[in-house]
Amino acid sequence: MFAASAASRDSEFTEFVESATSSLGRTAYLLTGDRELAADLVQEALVRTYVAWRRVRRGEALGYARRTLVNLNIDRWRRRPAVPAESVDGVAESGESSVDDRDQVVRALAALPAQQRRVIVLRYLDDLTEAGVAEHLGISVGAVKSACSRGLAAMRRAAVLTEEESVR
Amino acid sequence: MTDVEQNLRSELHIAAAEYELELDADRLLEAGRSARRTRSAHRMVLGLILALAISLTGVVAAPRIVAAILEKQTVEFTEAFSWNGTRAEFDQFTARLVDEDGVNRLTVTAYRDQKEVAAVTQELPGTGASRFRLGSRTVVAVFPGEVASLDIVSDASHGTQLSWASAFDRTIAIGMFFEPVKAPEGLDWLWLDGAGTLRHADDAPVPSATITLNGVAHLVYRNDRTDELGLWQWSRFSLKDYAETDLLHGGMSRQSDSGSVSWQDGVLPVGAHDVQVTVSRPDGAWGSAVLPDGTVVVLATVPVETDTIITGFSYLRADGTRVSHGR
Repeated sequence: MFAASAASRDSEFTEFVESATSSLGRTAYLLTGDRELAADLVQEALVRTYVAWRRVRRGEALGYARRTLVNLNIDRWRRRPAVPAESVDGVAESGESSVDDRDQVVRALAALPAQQRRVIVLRYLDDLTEAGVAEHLGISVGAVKSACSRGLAAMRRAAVLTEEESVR
Repeated sequence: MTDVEQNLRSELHIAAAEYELELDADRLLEAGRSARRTRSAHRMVLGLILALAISLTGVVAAPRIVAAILEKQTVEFTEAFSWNGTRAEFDQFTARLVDEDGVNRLTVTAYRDQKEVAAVTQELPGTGASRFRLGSRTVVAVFPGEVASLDIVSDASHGTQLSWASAFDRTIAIGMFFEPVKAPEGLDWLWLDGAGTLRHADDAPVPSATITLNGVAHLVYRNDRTDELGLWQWSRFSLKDYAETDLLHGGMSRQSDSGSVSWQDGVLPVGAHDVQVTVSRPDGAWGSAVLPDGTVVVLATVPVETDTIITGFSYLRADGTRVSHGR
């Protein structure tokens, strides 16, 4: 009987993995700017979600996994300095000719302070409300608004600078 | 959403779309099962190490955990309380948690002088926490998840011995109190889950934030049910009759082999911003955070034993007025 229950639980979790991996992967990629690191983060977040699967309410599993992923990334940033914008996943090595719009966005994100980057990604990639972002990050809605405003301004500045450089 | 925000949203989705991650679900499941087994065992081993470490200090004869995973569906562990044995109703416990087709039943047996003197069996709710009393001074609590750390935050916590172990994604904690506990559900237990969220016993999140000082992360929280400000696993105090100038006085110190440290924490009015703090030493550090409920928390530390940690502070009220205290 227990085996049947465990099989059912594993089946549910497998379905969740198949539906959530892509979304979590994209969030992790924009948070880290690093493909391999993003994959590691998603795997660890999903393993922790599996461990907690019984108490993860259906319909909230993606939120739980995403919160865990963001927390794992925060821990990572506490342990080591931020990745310099120039070394984001090989973008710098590729030279100016291969820097397309997508790289530009990833690079501009990587240059943001960590908190602003987390807020921007959760708010505009994952389409969370300001309250949802606040709940994910354990900060106030006011802090989310502030980080959003500063992050947006920085992203705009970064985009302008890049355009000017490419004209020269 | 403004045009700028819409534009950014589109750009982020385009940038992220080039990253397509595929994971092997079977390998992930195996890793998850392994993590579940490892974490359960880790908690128990950690309990043994902690108990031994505390016993060696001579401060308190700590509970000893003897744990064994009997079979896949059953986890059993024993708590032996050698502390205050003459007053304790029990000096040993066995907690047996059985999972039968998703239904968890917990049997706690209490012993005194190696004789069974009490036992109770409860079917645990599918979700949420539960607590029940055994005898007059022992409370068994079940938390809906794997606990990273746990604390009882009420006056009844004085003279408490507390141990816990996890299995089947639940955590069973046994607390023994000096004084009789009339209503176990009235005890406020806080616990930190694996995702780093601080929670009440019933799973509700506690407003909390991390302040990092000198590279060390500190979790500060406001217990909205007891109106206390806490520094997780370190200190807590009541905000009743609290005045912001309390930041200039008192504080707490701790000595250890690696040196002394003193710290001070307090709150500022909701809406306070542009906080500036002066600490008593150049090698001190301070930080502030806004909790999800709007509480503004200040935390400062200096690496010596002293009563003077913060010598002055200022902030802007929500209306823009500057408030200053001290030097």
